[in-house]
Amino acid sequence: MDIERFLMDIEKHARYGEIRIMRLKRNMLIIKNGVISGIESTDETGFAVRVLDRNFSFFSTSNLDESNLKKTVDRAIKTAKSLDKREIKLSEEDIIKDSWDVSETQKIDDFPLEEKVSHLIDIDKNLDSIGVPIRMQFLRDKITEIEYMNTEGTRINGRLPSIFYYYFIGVIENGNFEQGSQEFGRSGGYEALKEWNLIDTTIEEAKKLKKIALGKKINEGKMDLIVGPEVSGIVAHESCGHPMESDRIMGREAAQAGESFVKQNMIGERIGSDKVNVVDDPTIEHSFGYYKYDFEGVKARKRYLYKNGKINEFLMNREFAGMLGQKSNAAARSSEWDKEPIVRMSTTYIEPGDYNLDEMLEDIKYGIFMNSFTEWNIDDIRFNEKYVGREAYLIENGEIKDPVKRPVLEITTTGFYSAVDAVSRDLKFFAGTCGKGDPMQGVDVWMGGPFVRLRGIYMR
Amino acid sequence: MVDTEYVVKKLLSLGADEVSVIYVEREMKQSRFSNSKIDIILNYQENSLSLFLSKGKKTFFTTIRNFNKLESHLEDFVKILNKMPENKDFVGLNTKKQSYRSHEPDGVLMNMDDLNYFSKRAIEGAQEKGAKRVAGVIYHFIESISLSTNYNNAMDKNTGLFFSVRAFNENGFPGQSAFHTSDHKMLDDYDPYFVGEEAADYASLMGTPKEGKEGKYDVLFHPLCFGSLISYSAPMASAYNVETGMSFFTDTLGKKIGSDELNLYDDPTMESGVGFRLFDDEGTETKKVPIIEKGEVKTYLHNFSTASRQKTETTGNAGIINPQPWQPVMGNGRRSFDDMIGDMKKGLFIVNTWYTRFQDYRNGDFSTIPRDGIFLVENGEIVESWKGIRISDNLPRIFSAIKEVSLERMQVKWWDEVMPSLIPYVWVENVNITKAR
Repeated sequence: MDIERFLMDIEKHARYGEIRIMRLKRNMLIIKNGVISGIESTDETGFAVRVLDRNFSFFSTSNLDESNLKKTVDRAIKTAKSLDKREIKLSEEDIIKDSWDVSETQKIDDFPLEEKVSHLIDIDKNLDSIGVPIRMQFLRDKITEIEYMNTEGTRINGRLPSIFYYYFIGVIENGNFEQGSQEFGRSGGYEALKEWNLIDTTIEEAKKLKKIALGKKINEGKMDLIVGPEVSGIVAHESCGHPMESDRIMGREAAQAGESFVKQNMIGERIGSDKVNVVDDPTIEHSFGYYKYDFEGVKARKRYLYKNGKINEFLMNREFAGMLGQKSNAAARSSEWDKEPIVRMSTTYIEPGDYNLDEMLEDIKYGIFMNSFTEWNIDDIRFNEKYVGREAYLIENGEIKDPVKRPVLEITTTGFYSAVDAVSRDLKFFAGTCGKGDPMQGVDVWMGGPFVRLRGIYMR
Repeated sequence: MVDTEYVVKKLLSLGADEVSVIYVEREMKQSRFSNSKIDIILNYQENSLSLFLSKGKKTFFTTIRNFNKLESHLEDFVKILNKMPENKDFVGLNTKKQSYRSHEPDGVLMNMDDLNYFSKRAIEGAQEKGAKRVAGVIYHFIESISLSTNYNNAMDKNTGLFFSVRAFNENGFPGQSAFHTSDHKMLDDYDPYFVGEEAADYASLMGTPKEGKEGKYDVLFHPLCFGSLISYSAPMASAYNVETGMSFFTDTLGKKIGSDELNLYDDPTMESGVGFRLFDDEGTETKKVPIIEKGEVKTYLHNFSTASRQKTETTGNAGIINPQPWQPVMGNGRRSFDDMIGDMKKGLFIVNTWYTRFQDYRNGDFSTIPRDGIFLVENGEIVESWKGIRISDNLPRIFSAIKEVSLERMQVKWWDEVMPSLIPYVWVENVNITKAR
């Protein structure tokens, strides 16, 4: 493939262009109630070209014949030059020449299928032995190799191995059903399985669900609330990460995932108490959302989205950074070779504070401790949200008491962050697949946080 | 072009017992627009070869997109298959010789791919009705599929157009409309211009919405909105999901889970929709499958293995692991939407919803967030618009509380929330509405 020649063609005829060749190797294993229902392996390489002239065009193909690639590039140039003109000024960025890799202790390519299968079967047997009737597991490894080049001279090669595991279990106690699921993700190799300690984790979850299934609903009303890291993580992702995406703020996602309650002129506006700091950071080693450079060749860095309770910095790609007269903060990602780069999160979390959990509990007379969640959703401007507790307990006089069944927190974004009066020193991350774009792009992310205390929240 | 019959023969000669080979050539074009301007034109070319191989109970799936070393890949795949553990649930592929319906893609639509033009029509339609900003997406695809198994060979070619438009009024509040078709004649009534107009009409009606109020309300669901609930429900009728226990359809076969007004089919034979399929992933000819008739669960969705395990016939819905619906279709009623809303004493009319999530898949407890048009109806008239509400309810309860469905139905498809489907307006009694406090 003579990519340099394609780039020269683009440079000759258009304002800007970039080419991405991406190889995705994936192995997937599904186990349902002790039966291996599916094993799938794919190894695919695709070519994508994005051209900017009067407007953007994006063309992708899996046919890597030289003549087809030439045709694809020519069509992309022609399309970008033929559209109605739109004012687009990409932010000016450094020219990078680099290659990067994420290390694997137990290499994906060397890890035997038999070991994956036996590990998941062991998890299944253990769950079955304690009476868990509904058991689904999914394990996927993925190696992403990216070759990125643009007409400004940036040339980057990246290699990102990652492991993803998901379980869904259901228990029935005295006729009461309760479900639990969790995603685990990490960039690197199969050393992840040891780190996650999945046999103990899933057994512990199942035992908790059995107790929760027999829990009672709470009497609704105003009370104090402590949320655990899993809940603070989803809150950070949904009600900070998403509304701070510049493409939402500027309306580009309007017809699908929606817009944002945050407007272009709201930098510095208060969103919550000064205890609230929310970060998005793609550079955390072995995080699930890790990358060294984004999909526009911009070097990744940590971003404070909310700082001391105020709106601080949007997540930006080059188009929207240019529109706002700023530099990109490297938030452009594509889930696959045939997807355009759009503004995405990486690892989004509420920054830890200086409390410990006992200190946070001790002056709560009556409240709820919601350690994890099940159903959740948020509106398309990211303002009205709902989190239903999975593992949750009553707090009375500073002590955690009986489990409560599916307590509901239905609140606004400012309502949540304004009620925060204490944040613990802990920090734990959870994996997720964040969906956005059209066609839908699911990207690997982490979300996380500490224990967070809220005062006077309406719970039901 | 890959010769799927040859690939089957080769894999069998290398030692596989059963094989399903699907070769797809697809070109999809897309125009995205927002703030009333086109953002980007996208083009996706894909050639893929999906392979399923079995040997006894050993099974293996793979997809390849580069065919230069096909022969050596095939040898490798059989070697991998031989090392696979057993899938005890696998019974086999459909051995029955199929005779497929004849199908010709819409020749006019095949060549109708000026997405710039369609996007501009959608924007103009919305602006004509007063929209201040318009966003949306228009897709056009042409695809050819050839399938071979040990027992059957099939080919099909299809084309289609699907689009959605979201229009915003002067106060920034939206309305939405969406449509899909594989029949160009339908564009006479659903030209992107008209779809844009409908979105703008709802945006205009939204004005400046009031905060909604909690309580139990009769809700008249727009096809787009009920299509979303159906799109979450129909996959749960998969026999695989039922076996897993992760579905509110579990143990409901032959039982009533909805009112007499609820008739739900999977109908991939409806040629006017982009969910049309001639055959499933095992080569079984597709058919119109009754999932629910008069509120009673008639069948689950099956592939050959799930059907064999449950001692019934495949419904032509493979997914070789997990059967899937292709194109949900609801039966219609006797009266028009206008008559229905005219009869509503007090209730809500909701245009769209998103972010449907379940706290209990087995029993169907869920919530979802209405958007793009929420209207309070009193004595047959829309009296105000609302925002900030959530439907927090139970799907079988909603199905059981269907009072009426409309005479007219719409072909709706929107983003990943609404599958290509044909849905009427649906009146449901006593829907639980909650909101943030």
